[in-house]
Amino acid sequence: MKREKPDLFAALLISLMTNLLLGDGAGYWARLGLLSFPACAAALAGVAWLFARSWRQVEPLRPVRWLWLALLTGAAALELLRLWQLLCGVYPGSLTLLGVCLAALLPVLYLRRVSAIAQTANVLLTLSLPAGLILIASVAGGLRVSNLQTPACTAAAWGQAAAAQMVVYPELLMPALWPDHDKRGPHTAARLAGIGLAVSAGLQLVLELYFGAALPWQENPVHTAARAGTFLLFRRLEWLQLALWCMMVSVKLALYLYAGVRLLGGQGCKSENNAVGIKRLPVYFLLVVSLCFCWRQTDPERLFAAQNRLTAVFAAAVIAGGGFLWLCRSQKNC
Amino acid sequence: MPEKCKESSRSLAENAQFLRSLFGMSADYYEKELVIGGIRCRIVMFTGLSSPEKLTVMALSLLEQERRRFADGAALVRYLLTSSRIPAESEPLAKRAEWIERLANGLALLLVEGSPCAVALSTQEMPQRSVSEPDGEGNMHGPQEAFTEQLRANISLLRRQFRTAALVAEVHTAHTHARTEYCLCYDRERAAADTVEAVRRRLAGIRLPVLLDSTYFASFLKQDKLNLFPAAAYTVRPATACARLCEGKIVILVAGSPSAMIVPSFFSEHFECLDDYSSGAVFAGLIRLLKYLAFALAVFGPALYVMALSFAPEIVPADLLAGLARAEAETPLPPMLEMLSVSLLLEIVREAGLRAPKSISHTVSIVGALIIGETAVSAGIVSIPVLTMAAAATIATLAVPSLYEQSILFRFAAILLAGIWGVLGFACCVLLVTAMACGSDPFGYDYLYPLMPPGRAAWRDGFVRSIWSRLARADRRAP
Repeated sequence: MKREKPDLFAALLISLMTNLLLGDGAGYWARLGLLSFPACAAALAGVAWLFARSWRQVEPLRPVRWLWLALLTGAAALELLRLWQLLCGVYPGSLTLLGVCLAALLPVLYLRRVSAIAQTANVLLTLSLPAGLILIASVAGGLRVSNLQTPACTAAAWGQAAAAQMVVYPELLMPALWPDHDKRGPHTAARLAGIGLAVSAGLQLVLELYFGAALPWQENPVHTAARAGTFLLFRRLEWLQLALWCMMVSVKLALYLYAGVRLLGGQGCKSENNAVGIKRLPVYFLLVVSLCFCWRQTDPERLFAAQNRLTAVFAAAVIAGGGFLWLCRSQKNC
Repeated sequence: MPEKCKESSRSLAENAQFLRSLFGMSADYYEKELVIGGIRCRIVMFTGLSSPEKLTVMALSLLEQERRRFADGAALVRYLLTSSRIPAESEPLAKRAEWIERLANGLALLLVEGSPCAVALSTQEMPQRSVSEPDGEGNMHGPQEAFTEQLRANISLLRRQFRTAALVAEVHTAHTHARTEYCLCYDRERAAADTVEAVRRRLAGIRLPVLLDSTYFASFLKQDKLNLFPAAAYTVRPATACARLCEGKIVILVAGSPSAMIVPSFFSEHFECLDDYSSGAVFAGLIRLLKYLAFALAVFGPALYVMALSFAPEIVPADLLAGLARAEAETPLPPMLEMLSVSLLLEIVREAGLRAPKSISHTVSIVGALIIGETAVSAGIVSIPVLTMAAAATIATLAVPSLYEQSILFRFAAILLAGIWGVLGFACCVLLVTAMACGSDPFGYDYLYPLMPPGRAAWRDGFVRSIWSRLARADRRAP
């Protein structure tokens, strides 16, 4: 089969899933989350679509591009910090921050082609299905329907669930950078927001069935569940999940590098598939590792929350700016 | 201008002198002056490549019977090329470079007084190995013949199985010092025209000092030189080459090599063989899945063992873990070094067995496998579980022989990474291998097709094989 235009949808989805898997929970109860899911998915898709439309207007402004580049670099470093913290908790003393950075960024060397990112993400997505089933099977004995929480459906509770779901991750905005985005329409944003939130709500449901009311107090609920589960002969299968998450982080880092290259004007390359190249990898590596070392003392979850807020502010600014520029241009044309 | 690039002369003596100056010192160079139809001629050939008997029977005696007389050399050449029944090439050879090429190809040249053109006579008789069974690529069913070193014979082996007008066999001369010939074979109805053109262009651009095998072309056809996965597949079986031609692939044959190169090549093809299609679909599917498992075991098995013992003992069931821990406690080396040294030793034994003369290769195997292995365990240098895992990985490698090099390289990388970084290193290696496979795009095709993205094609003839009626239906639907 000819490789015409690699589709990065799977890579974006993998990247979105990483945000959920490495974090400390989605912050809402499954019942409310599932009910508010359609509205939130539609709202997120709308934000992503508006951002993509506005981005075309503000794209020529270099400071805006540099700002997004800085946000993406920070997000990449943050992801490595979260992974490092998780691995240090599981295998204390066996891994250094530099080692984690090296091991996670080494595969990016072979993920410098857009088609490689797309196809590798497809493989990981396929692998994540049996891995997820194994995770559920390993904790199946501990899943209790009675653990499901039934919070009152007050406006405050709805608002809390919606706020927890309405996180504007950089992955939702990234399709605006892809060269053929204009031709794809709003489908990508809708699919991405929909599937991303569905995975989040589904995961939340399983975790709630397992942990019950204790869920909010778990530091990394998915990992804790994976650690506690047993499957056939095996007492613990967390390594399987950890290995998969490490791979997902590498794909995410490769995706961010490609997005960065697009922001720097990678369109000038001979073919889009080779846009990333190998020359930018050392700079990316140095930047990300430096940021990791700067932030190593800070709580990654706090940084992650701050990054999400910044991304939301950035998206709002771009939408507002893009709208304003569009209005100005329309006035001039009239 | 070099002498051989000059135009030929009308003088027979001058032309003969030119050839004598090039080949006169060679023992196999043969020349003889004779008169045909009243015109002085000279026949030249290499005795090892061309047969004087054939020349006498097929050409000279025929000419003698015709008893014609010619006004001049040009008339004789015209007659030989257009009217005579002797097996001559239809075009006259006016350039000296062409003469050399024809002589090297085993043809006899007839130089004629008064004509600047020579006539090439097909009197080739080269020493060649007969068509035999292939050494590798074992198959129980289907044709049991293998390619030989003769390019023309190999083309004929292909054409014998591919009996349509669609088979194209383009012979080209490579830019090598020895001017080796290679042949581009494809089905003009099924092969993508742009791919054929791309292969043709790339091969034409290759400059090599020597071309002894089709594998020499491989690195030139690769897009990403850092990628370790092969850009092409190889076969010594005409039947396999024929099957690939039917799939729209291109087969490259090189003169002097019994190995045919197939491009573009996909990852799943390394797990297929002719027997898959002769045996039942269920059994063939099982064997294919086993081969994928064998590849995973060959590459990641030892690394998983090292990772389990050094970083993540929870992987191993409790009963087994106690035994492994006891065995490891008795050896001085950490699991990573132990596994690396045993794997290296196995590779050395394999290489020695392969390169040594056949009479002593068995001894090498016995010394390597039994004596060193047994004594290393007895002396407590390596543990039995490590030896077992390394041996299992080595045997698993042989289940997918076409990915042998890659399996070995990936295995060492995996052991190192898993030994240094544990689960993270193991994940890093798995992703490296996956990314390499995903990043490879031979001539713009997906290397992982039809396995990824998973679809109907993956189950039709990918991870497993579907029944013949479905395969045939899919083939009919294909453009």
